[in-house]
Amino acid sequence: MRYMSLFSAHISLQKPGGPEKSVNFDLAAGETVYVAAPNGCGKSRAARQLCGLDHGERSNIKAAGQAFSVWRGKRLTELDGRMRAAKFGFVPPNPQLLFSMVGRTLRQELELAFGVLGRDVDDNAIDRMTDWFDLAPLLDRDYRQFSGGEQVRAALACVLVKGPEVVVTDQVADQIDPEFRRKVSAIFEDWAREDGGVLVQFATAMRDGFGNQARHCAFLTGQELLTGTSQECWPRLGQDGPILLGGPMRLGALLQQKGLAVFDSMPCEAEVLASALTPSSQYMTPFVTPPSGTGTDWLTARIYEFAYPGGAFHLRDAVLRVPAKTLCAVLGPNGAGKTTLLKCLANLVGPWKGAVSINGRDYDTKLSLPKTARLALYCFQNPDDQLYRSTVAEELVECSRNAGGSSALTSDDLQLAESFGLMAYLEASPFELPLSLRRLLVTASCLIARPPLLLLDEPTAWLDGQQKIALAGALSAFLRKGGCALAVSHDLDWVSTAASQLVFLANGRIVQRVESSVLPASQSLPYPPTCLEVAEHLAGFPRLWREEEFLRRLHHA
Amino acid sequence: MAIWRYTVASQVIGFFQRLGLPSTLITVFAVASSSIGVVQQRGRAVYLAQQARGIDFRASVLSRITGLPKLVIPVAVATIVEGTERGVAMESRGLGSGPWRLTGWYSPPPRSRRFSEATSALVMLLAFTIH
Repeated sequence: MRYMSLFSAHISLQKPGGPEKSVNFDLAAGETVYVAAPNGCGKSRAARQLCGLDHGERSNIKAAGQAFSVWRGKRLTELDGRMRAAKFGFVPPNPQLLFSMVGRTLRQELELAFGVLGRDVDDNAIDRMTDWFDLAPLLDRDYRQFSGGEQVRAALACVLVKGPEVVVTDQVADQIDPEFRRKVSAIFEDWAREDGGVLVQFATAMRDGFGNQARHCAFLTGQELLTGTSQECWPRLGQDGPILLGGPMRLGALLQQKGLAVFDSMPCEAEVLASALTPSSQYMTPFVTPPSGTGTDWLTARIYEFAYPGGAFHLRDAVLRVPAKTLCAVLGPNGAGKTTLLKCLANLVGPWKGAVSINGRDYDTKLSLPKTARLALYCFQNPDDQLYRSTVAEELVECSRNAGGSSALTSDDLQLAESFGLMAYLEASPFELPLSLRRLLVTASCLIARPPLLLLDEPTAWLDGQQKIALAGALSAFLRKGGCALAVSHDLDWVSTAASQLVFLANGRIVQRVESSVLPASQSLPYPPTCLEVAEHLAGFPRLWREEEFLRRLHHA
Repeated sequence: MAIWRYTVASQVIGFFQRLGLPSTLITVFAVASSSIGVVQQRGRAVYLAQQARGIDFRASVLSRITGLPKLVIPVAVATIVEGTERGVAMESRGLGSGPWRLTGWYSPPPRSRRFSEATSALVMLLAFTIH
């Protein structure tokens, strides 16, 4: 491919009281770049700076000094707003924000993408998006009722439909299932190659860019850590990529050890790198031993039928038995009914037919929501749907206080806040926290209440490796004290190490139920495997933690 | 409020375009009227979250009244905070960057419905001006 610089950017970021750090990007037409980094280093701020947008996601990182993006020789700030909107596409981590609320259906939003740019509607482009993102069943539905994964697909379509030259996405893959993640990855690369565009994907998990020719960057506290083509960075890995729960820093450090990447000088990051290079056994084995169940069922749920008004979706014959002290992961493709199942258990939706028993206490759809909360506490998928107190400290004890518990933080609670990185923000407004910390805050609030049944909806979304480890540790401590937890997730890496029971859903039905501890290793599935592939492959559950293999391949590279 | 509740943003756009109003004004009205949906959505989310976390608003009439500030304040704060990010997202889509082109769904509605919608739009205009 002839290298033609289409887009370049100089980004400057600054932490409060910290030095100004700058990163230069120079991107060619047809190129796809993945930027991976731990949370809090300024990815979201940088993503917005790239697009010439002024405000960042809520975070401590501020734009500093000279920051500019240049497209075809022109600075973005000098471009007419309409031209900029036409040529640049931006997908925020919360895709809901892209929906204008002017229309009601997805089709109207897609048409609006042309209308606001003063263009005629291009039906071919809409058909193309419908085909790419499997939107046919969603086109004429109200987008406010979409599931998390459906919202991501719709948002991507709303951005790509206008045919931008540069697309910047900000960690959008966390809410989509592995199968669709693979598909989106392929769509992005085809789109960039065929349409001559540039895609910059900011993501914590580098695996989204596996098995392709994309360029990768690891981004650390506003300083470029490593960069190179995937062929340079990921020799002969193909789709058998490593698991990145240890975080991209660790991966970057491993690559540096092997002399496979060029690093800038990092005088202030020595400590971080040292921690990233701790013995691999810390990362290889499950970082938390899932507590084994006690035998008797703590949770017995029988939800025979539930349908949303209008009959768009049916949940049928969901029968669950979960022993005490067990984390049961609920897996399945987008739209399978995972969130709906959890919402039924928390009585957030209804009426449903059936009954639930938690440690001998029975309830059904008639139990009021506040009373159900004392038995089954639901942690929302979008943290912004759950936050309403004025300080982080008040948020932390909110569930506990409403359940008649203490309204003061105990030493255990403070330890939990510390492990989640919330201690520095106790008196701050929850609305000021970055997305990953808001995610952890709502989870911490539920953990502190110590409900008999904890319902977690995508608990690892937007978290980086270290935060996932902290979450798994906190959950393990919660389970050791009793109770059980259900977690909806697409993060098979995390699930395979933190959960001891797996339940698979498809089309509103439970299709498979297994104990993760009895599953032997398997190397035969593509990575990352989809939930259904795993479910169909239960003779050999894949060992998702394959760092040993990764190191072996690196050694031979 | 009732007019705002039942006026669809797309109809307002169509009506104002027909009147030949400037695109900036049309965008302001479109976004203002669509923000009703955003506030409603946020209100529902906070109400549900508070109940899901054990607050019982329905226990008595008194608890409903005393619980109102607990609902209104976080809705207002969250809406304002989210508004900044929504504004960035809308800017990236090109809202407010120039005149909109009419498509089928937000072109002016049939004549029989126009009177009520025109009235709604004018009341909105008045309310907005006073505000």
